[in-house]
Amino acid sequence: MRVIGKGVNREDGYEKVTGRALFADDHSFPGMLYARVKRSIYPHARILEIDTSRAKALPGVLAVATARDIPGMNVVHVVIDDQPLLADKTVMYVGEPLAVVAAETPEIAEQACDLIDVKYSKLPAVLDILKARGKSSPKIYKDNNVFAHHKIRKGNIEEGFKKADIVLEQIYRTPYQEHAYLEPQGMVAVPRYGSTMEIYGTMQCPFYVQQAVADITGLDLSRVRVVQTYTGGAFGGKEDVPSLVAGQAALLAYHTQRPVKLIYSREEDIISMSKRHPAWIKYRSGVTKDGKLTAVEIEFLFDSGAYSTLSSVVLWRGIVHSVGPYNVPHVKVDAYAVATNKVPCGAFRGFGSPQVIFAAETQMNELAAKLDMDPAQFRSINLLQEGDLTATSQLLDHSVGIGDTLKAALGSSNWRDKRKGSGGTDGSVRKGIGLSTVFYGVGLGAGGKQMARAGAYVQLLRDGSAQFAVGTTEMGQGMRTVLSQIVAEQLGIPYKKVYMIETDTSRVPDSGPTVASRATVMSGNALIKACAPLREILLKRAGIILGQDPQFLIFQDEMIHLEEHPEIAVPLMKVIEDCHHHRENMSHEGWFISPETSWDPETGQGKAYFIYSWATNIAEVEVDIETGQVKVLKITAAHDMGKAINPLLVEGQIEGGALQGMGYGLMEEVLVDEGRIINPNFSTYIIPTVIDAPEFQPIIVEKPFRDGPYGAKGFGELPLMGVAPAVTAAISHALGITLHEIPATPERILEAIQAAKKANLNG
Amino acid sequence: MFDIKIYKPKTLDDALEIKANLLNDIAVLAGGTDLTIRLKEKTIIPKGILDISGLEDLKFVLEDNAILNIGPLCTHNELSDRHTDWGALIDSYAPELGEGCRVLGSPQIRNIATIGGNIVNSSPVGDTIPPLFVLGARLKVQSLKGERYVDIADFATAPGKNVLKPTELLTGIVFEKHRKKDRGFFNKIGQRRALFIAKSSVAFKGSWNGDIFSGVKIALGAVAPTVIFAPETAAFLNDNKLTRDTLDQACNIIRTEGRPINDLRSTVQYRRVVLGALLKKGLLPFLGKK
Repeated sequence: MRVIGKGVNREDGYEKVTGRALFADDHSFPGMLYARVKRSIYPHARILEIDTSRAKALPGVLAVATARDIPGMNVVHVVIDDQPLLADKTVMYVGEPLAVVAAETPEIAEQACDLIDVKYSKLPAVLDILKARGKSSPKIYKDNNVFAHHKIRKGNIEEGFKKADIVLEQIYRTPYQEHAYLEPQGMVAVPRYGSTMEIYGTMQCPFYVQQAVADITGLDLSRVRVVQTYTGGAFGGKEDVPSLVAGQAALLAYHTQRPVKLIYSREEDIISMSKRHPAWIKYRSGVTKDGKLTAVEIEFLFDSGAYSTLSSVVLWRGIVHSVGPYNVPHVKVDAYAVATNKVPCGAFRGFGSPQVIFAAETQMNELAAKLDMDPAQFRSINLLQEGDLTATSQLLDHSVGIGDTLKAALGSSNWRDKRKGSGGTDGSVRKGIGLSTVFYGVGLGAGGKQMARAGAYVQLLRDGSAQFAVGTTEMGQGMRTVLSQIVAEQLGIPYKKVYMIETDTSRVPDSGPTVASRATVMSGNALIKACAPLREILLKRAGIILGQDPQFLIFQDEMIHLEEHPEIAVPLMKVIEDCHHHRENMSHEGWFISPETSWDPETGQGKAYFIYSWATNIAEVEVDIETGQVKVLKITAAHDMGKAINPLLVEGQIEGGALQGMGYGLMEEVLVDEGRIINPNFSTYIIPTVIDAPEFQPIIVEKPFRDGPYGAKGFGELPLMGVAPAVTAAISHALGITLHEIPATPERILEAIQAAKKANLNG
Repeated sequence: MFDIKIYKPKTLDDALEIKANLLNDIAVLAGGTDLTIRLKEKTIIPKGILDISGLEDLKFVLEDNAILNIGPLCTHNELSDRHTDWGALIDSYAPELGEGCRVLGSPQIRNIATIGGNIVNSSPVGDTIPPLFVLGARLKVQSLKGERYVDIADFATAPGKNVLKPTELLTGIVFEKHRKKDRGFFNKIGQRRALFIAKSSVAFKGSWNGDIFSGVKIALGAVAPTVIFAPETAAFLNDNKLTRDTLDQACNIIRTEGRPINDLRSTVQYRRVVLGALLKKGLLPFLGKK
């Protein structure tokens, strides 16, 4: 293939590194106003009064809107419609929006917000997920504070544990994680002709934003157009919450009939936008003395925050991934999304899986230790293989690359020697190595089945260039490049001749959200479908020119020629010109519906996802036993993504995801005091810097997916998912301790060393 | 958002005059890396800003026999880049201060933030302050009425508070150069390996004769409301043969000398424990070294 499988440069790289790319805040319109949001200062309170009179009287203020001024519905739809755009009767978390202001300058808008007087009557807040389920807890959602409960029942759990020689039960905790995208949330709402609304902004899911703006303004969907601007990172943090930002801007644009720009400050973004759910996980596994898993029983809680938003689906991905990529005959899982008076949690790379993977993989490493077995060998006994059934009893019939990733990573990292040479007594530094094996269900799965379709539009122009549009978005992950490669390959034209039009709801039908690592598979397939009639027209026209039957013609090197006789050929460019001359329709649409999935909510059994990607992570660390500081030396990550359409971008995804996963495992922590986030900026919310980055060894394993474009599966989230437990396993290996809570900060590591010393003295 | 008058004097006298007239209503901007955050967060709302960043008179490193005199408007990069004259001087004669300047904030912050700002900001986590403690620095402060010198250890009184009067500006930082046998270091620890604020830090200076330190001074950052000395550890190490055993004992003593708190950066327990580790890291290279 000419373009597929090549590490071509990013299509948008030049614009981004030269500063030409226009992000949300770079967009301005004549007569534009600036918006600010008034937010709750209490985690839970009744609103007695919102007095906007002083704010409205401030010169330069054009509009102040509260819940009462919403012409449509005061709802931001995600799954359950419990979240208002602006709080009406009660506030449910610190930072919840109460009112919005549009003014001539951002400074006046800010000042006007300060002039809005809110009278509250404080209510008892629910802050702890374990207490939230107790009888005595205040109720903030239904009668049990539970937004969702999902379960898996496979085999017979009692029987499974009876067959076990060793049973291990542990409790695990994982923290919030903040997306820390470079570009904060931002939208510009532009009213046109008194009856339509255009939205420009940073987002993953333009069709969600379109729905939200239509709901809030009361306009028909047909009168709301959403255009995605260059998006400076998202990681799930721009899945559902941009609907709030767009709704706020659109409400003010609706009332003033002037363009309104709303850009969040970093602090505002961190306190009010979604996060990774903190989790409490009770994990019990049974294993025979020769290392075969017999049973897994899990109960876990996600701290969902004040509104349900995406929690139910996040929890669902969590249960499907909770057992890990292992063949376990008896499984029982119960998972709950619990309501608390804190910021609503939502999507974040891995979507409910990194929490349970931390528990599952730590559990596997400790079971291996109890069996006195190498954790890699213990994995190979239990890993899923072709023909096996998953925890949801899904038959894996092809593209199961987990064993290959394990083999590749073990070999490349020299695991066996390094595993033997742990610890060390040279000064205060100890070395260790640890691993994790992970799988990832590609796409929305049975949990989001109704949205599992995508559209595409392709036009081949008379100069031999092509433009295309899709409904999924580029957010830095590389979709624009990968899809351009697919179009170039399909149409036989050079990669540089392909241009992707910015994602715009008026160009293609609702293609679902850009989440769940689905863009390559979904939009890639839709594009292949859109290119098919164009290929047919080109071959037909070439057949006429050459006087040959089109079925024996092929595309090669910007020529079309007879397969058996390459000398009988015509330049592609001539064929394209001829097509236009003969008034052929050179623009076509494609529509792709995902392969079938299924789910029984009572038993948690079914074909959860249409395909899985697989990975093995190996982390090597040095730990200073006197400071508890960890230096990650190297991360080897072998991934099976079916086909690396662009190996360079694949490696970039692996490295970036691994670093983000390392941050999750070692240092990132949102600190909440009485419902208030106390570290809402980057001097106190600590993410890894380039100096903290280890050496990366990305490894590509390709086990093709038969329904994927060129065999590709989605994998963008996978690089993050299993890195935290690989790093903590390496720390445990270095020090002979166990870590059941992340982040593994130096404070926690020193505590664990102390605890281990005490246990040794007593034991 | 701000209705603030900005004063940008051309001379020190003009600056002092503005200070004398406006007293507490004015905030001084040197590098601005702390001030602008406070303005943005509205933790201070001054009527005016005295922007002294253009006062070239306050940007110097002067060598006067055994004394170094540093202008408060020198940036951290200017004092720590060994390839420049100033950086080389600091590296030779006050290496612990060079290190403090080198590990403060990020490259961007070090390019604009000034040593004077770090001192007047009077935070217990200021990375130049423990080194200045062990160097025995004296601060020259001036007002229209004259000048006085304040010992660095007497300068800060609480987080963000110091003895500078509303009429005064910091105009010089003076200390004795290292002599031939003097050795010093500054070590800090945080949540990551770069761009971090200290959970604990330790500065050390002493005269080394091959197995004994004399004239030992140790200062601790981030473990009390201000930077503090660790007099007991210093006394223990002073004129005492440095061995693995005495080093371990010193590490135990230093852990008792901080008065840390739990906050969003770390815990009491951790901050105490790592004081020992930071001291040890700095002194280990001297063990067995003649």
